[in-house]
Amino acid sequence: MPKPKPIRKVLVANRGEIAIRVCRTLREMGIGAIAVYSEPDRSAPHVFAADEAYFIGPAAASLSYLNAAKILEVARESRADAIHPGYGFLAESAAFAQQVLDAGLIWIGPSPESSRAVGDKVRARALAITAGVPVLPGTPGPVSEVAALKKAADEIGYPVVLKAAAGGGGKGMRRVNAPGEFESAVRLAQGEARGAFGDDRLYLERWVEQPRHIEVQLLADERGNVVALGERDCSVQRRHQKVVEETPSPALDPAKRRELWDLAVKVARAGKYTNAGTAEFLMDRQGRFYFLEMNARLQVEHPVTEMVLGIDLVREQIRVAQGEPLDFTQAEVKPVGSAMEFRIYAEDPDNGWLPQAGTIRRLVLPDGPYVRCDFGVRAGGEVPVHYDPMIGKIIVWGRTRAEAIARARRAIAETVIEGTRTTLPFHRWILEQKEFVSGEYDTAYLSKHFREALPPDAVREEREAAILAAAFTALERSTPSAMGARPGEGPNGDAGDGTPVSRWRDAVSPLRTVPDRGWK
Amino acid sequence: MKLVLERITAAAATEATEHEVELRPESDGFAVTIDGREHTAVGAIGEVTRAMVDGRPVEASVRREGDAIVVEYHGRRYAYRVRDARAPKIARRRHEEAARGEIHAPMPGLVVEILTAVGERVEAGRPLVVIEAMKMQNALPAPLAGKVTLIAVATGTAVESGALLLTVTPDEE
Repeated sequence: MPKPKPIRKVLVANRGEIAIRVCRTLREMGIGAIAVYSEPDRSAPHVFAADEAYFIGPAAASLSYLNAAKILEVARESRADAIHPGYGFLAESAAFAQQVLDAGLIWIGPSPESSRAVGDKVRARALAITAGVPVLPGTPGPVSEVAALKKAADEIGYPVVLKAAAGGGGKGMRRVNAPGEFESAVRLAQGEARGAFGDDRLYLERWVEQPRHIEVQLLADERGNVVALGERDCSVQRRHQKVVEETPSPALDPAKRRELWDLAVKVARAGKYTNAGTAEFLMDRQGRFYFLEMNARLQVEHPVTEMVLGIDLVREQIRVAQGEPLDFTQAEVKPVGSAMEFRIYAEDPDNGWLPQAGTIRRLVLPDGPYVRCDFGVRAGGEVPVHYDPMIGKIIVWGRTRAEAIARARRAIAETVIEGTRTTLPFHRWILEQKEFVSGEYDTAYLSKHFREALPPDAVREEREAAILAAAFTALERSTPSAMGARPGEGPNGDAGDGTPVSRWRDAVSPLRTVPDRGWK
Repeated sequence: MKLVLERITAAAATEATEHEVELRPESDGFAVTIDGREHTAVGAIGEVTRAMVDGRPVEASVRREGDAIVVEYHGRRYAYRVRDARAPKIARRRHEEAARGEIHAPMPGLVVEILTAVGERVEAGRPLVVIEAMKMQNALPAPLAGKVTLIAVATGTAVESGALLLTVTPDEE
């Protein structure tokens, strides 16, 4: 039995909200936190959430946050005894996990062996089959011959879905409705998979019509104890990417819930899984579960689980990584109430979810009872163009699902993010949709129903905006300089150096009047 | 002031695209008629707008971006192009006043500070008098270079829209 080795200093090999979130737990546990940062992140909030920070390279992730050698060098230099990878970047690299162990450090995540066992979808699928966990009918492994793929598709029956063996996030994924579309779909999927993952192996599964995407949070110690920490329903997706997650799933009754948790634990046991991980399942309209894949990392949406269980998953990850046993049993896992997470992306929901760049001029985050904000940006900061456009998450808890929805509406309405468009208006929209409110939605819901993120009282809000625009015009015409008119535009556009002369304008500088609530 | 606000929208947007607006300055804001409906707008309007529209608190951000006035409100972005509904008489009058070196109150308000004295030589653009209106302070600049020859108000004076505040007599060539 491995003996506990206390962790004193952790290098957090990530950025943004997840790096800050990990640092928070480290501080609560009295463990030193080390941040790393790339060139554009020199003054990013995550740097200041840590006790020490080290520069690791230029903007490109491949040269900084994915630069394993550099990160290991910083770990040595800073005398870190463990590395927490967050999610994304190196989080699911079994090779990096092995390098970390070889360097004599603790890896706060699944062991390289268990990570490899579930690391690609094809191996995870084989593992599930041996564990007696249902999977979708499909090819047993990756197939490179188009003809062989085609034969499998004909046997399974259309529609089928092509998936990249190394994939995730919907890349390299393609639905094929009929035999005639097959060959072109394979080429497109291969091209996407090669571009995104450097690996164009594909496999194929039966397409499930309007499924729900439900996943189970798992935690396993190094002594073989595995517990399921409840499920999360992530069926609100656009382009196979999650935007809203909730627990418990409104689609499960207690019996189905127990069945799902048990299936997830079986997969984890079969893979001798350690630390935190998530087993993803589809549930079809008949209520049948199909195992999809295992995410061998902390998930973006882990806070909803924390909210209903009162546990800190990062703390549990650290305890397990130190060799400590789980200090609760499956029978003690009793979720209370309902929690929801709303991902705030710097994307324009009214324009094909186009990623937005720019400076966040104002940021007012919601507060009050049972609201949690995990954000990686601050007012005055740039939205990173080099990295994921998710800038933060708003998480709410309620005793019931209805209470959580009411709280979410309130919290989203309190939030102000200016300077870049975000998914906030989308969240206002979805919180008013009867399908969401009743819990009767599936992964196809958004592509079918979402067109524009109109607020509940769109006409009044637009009129208010027009009134403000008109008043602004009147003020601008009377005192151009006060409204920040361009130099030379008014009778005396500026003070000669481009600085507007109005004191009023000075007095409302967003940086001075808006408290920085990006993180604290 | 009569304006037409033309909303610049993405192709997908389904909302109204043009508004007829009439604005009348009031002591602490505007009475606004928009598409035939009466509204009031009171407060500080600008990059951080905290205003009351029909008594409802509205937090938004309003600024000029090129030809457009952009309003960021509840996470949505509204952009408008502004057209005059009729010839801008006020603008012409202001232009003539400026050419004579006169500073007039652009709206009803309170003189909160005078930054010059009679006889002082000033450059164009230098702030000379500060007026507070709609809870905003506006520093009114010298319209041209010259000597301050008249200060018609004192700190604390309440002024009507268009009232003469100060005259700068241009330098002789």
